[in-house]
Amino acid sequence: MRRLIDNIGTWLGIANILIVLVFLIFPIAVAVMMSFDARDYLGRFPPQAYSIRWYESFFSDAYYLQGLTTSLILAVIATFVSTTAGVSAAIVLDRHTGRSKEVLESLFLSPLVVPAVVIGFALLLFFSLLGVFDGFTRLLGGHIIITFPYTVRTTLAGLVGIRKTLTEAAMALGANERRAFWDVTFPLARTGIVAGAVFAFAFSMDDIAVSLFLTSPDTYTLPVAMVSMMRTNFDLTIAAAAVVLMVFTFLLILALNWAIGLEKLIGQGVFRS
Amino acid sequence: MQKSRGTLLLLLPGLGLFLALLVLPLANVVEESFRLFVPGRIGSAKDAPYTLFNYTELIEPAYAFYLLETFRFGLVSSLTALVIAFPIAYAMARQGSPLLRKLSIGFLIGMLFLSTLVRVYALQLTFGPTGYARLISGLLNVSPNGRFYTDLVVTFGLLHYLIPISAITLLGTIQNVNPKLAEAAQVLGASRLKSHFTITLPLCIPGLLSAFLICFTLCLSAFVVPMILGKGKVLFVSNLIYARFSEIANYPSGSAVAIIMLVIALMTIYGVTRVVSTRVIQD
Amino acid sequence: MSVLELLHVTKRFGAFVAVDDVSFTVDKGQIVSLLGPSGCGKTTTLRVISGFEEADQGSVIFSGKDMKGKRPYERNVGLLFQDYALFPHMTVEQNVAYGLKQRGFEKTRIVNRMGEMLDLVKLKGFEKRRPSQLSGGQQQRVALARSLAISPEVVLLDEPLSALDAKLRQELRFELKEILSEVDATTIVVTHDQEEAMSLGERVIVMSDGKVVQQGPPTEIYASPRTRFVAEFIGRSNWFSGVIGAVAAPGVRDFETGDGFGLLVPEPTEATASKDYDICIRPERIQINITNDVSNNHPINTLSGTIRDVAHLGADIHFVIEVAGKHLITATEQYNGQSLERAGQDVALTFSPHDCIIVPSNS
Repeated sequence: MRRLIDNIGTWLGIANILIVLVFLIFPIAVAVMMSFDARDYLGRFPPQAYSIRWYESFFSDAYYLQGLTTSLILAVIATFVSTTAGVSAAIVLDRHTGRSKEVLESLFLSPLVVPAVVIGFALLLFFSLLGVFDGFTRLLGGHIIITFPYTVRTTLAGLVGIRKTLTEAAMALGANERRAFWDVTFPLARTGIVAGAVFAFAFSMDDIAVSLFLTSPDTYTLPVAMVSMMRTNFDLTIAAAAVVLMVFTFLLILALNWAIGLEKLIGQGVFRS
Repeated sequence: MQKSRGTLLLLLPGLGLFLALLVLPLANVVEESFRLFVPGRIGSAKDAPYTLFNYTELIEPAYAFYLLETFRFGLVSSLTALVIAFPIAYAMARQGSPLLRKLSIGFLIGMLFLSTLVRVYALQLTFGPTGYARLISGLLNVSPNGRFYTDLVVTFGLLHYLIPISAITLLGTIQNVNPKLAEAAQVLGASRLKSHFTITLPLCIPGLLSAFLICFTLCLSAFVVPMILGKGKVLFVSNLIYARFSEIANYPSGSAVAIIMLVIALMTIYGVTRVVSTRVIQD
Repeated sequence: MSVLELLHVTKRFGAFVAVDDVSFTVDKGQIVSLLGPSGCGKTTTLRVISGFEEADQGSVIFSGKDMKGKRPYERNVGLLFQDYALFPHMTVEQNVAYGLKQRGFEKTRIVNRMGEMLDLVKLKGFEKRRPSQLSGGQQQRVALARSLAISPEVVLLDEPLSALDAKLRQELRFELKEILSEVDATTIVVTHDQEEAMSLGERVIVMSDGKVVQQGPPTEIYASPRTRFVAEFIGRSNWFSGVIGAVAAPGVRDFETGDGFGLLVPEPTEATASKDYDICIRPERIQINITNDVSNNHPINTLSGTIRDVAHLGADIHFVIEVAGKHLITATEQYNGQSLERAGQDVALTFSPHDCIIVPSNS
């Protein structure tokens, strides 16, 4: 027998979920719809007619395209470097226990904790001190350090899930440490490594705070381009750019799901209903 | 931890990156924060004297104001996010259908992956002058260009990220609470709502605390949200650093603010790990 | 000839001595059980034999060769883990062939051997399956095939039957012994389960706190334990503590228990300085007599008491009898179609002195 208070509770819960869904999705829908607005000025929502003019504008605008290209190249290189360094670091962390391992782990994950602004600012000052003025190098440095923790964390999580008895079984059967790693550990850790790379790529494409500090007039990322446009020429090309970025995000999520399945990121917990 | 040549070789890339891209730059910032700034130059002079001025100047009300602003937003947004996210996380944790679970988790993760800039821009379009600014501000009886409305939109901006991340964090916590405990309370006569308030909720307190601290740290470091949605009227600590750097090239002062921001962020994270580890001990 | 020899092996972790001066030998084709409670050092001994830990003192010798400094992949051991440790990303045949590949055998030889092994464990036809598609019993057989494929000098089984339910355990126990004898494997079974140890091992080595406490055939361990620990660890027991007295008959001595019973016990094998001993009598060695008419010429122990509880367990009946107002004794009888004894009845318990196990106190 359900009591009134329970019913109210359930209805409130449902209302809460609906409001949140609307709150999260509606602004995105607005941005998408506005990106297809036929008007050649930024008018009131909702658009009355639709066209792809803003996408044409985006893809023909050298300023934006350069930003997009730079973003992609940076993401690819940063992901590669981060993943290589991150996987190596994760292997070492997985093999050891104790104080020094914990300290090292905190160190490697620290960029997640340091505010992005502080990282960007610190790198800018440091690069200036060293005399490194090339925009691309600076941006690359920033992107590498902010993506690195993700590769370490997800690879480590993947490695931890591999039972130690598996490598020991391989060794008892005649494989030395290196063979055991390549035959047993690496194939099983592959999903963690891929997930880490996907995270790294996504956060490199997304970054704005660090990039704003390290950008230069001739080298800039897409988000930086969008921000400067927001200050100068607030038209709907930005909306088209935003949707392009969203598509990338969506594709990356699909890649993540294909690689490891999304529930594994959260786990099932001890009790399943 | 035995160090062998192989281990050192594997650690070298990571350590190298860290030294070059984090440790040394931060050390440099610390050093810079103690140097005197002479207006008109870029950064401090080569042999500028050491001083505590950059830090002491921050205690003045004008600067303390920024910190308090940031704290205020952080507190309000984090608490709101928790209150809203908890029931959602609960519904997901007790969800029976695997498909629905997968979809909802996928949705939340998608929301997290969303570029901050896209998020902020979308909110600007929706709640700005071309969107529902007039409607909403009219309902609330405030000016669409006024302080209150701007604060509200900034909070929306923060919540748009905080709610998904809280939901996911709390999902992990709630999953580890035995559902049979609330059922036991119900068998003993409590209404469902009451059983959750008295049983499930208290058991989630460590998880709630850590989720709160995570949200709070994120708010403290927020940069893009206040920058764009705040329209220059709302300034967080991170915006102060940016202003110091872009407008007056006062690197020493910017450094001091950066260090303070870093210390607060580290203390909050330390708090999270302490909370989590006490929970582990209690278990 | 001995295939495995442990000579005075000691292994420490910091200040903790996990394995303390352990020595034993295993001959070719023998199955030996290493039995003891958790923390007794049996798993560490296993790891020292297989090479995952290096002994601080003493030697591990395989067929006359000292294994000092040799890594696990340099020794020829077959290791069957408690969780089977089958490679989840490989098929059954890839799992079984793995050890052979490491030895660089050529393809046809590997395929033949792999087929032989799967035949041996009766899993022919399962080659292309993945471990996740196999039942627990099947996984164990694949793991066994994998470790035997390399013709190891010593096979080490870590709690092989503990993950299975009771029925499966009995079936697999017999199969396991058959398989091991067919390949004439020299085997050590490490377990905390006395039933597993006694049913699989021709010889049982009992360990406690890092030391070997007793070793011998299962019947010897059961009937003639040398310490209280061994007597208690194997089988069920009833205990009396007391002081030994004068000789009452050839090979029989008087015994006065702490609570005042007078018993007849056998001559102790280990003499102690004090006269303090513990007496153990197994439940199935006690006869329950309803009448007090126990005429017998041989020296016999008699205790009178009241039945407190009767539990019918199918093939056996377990009794709890209260003796002299305090002491609780367990006795078992085989169910022979009719049970005459009931709770509340007064009975006389009888048992022969030679069924008493006498061990020094505090052992």
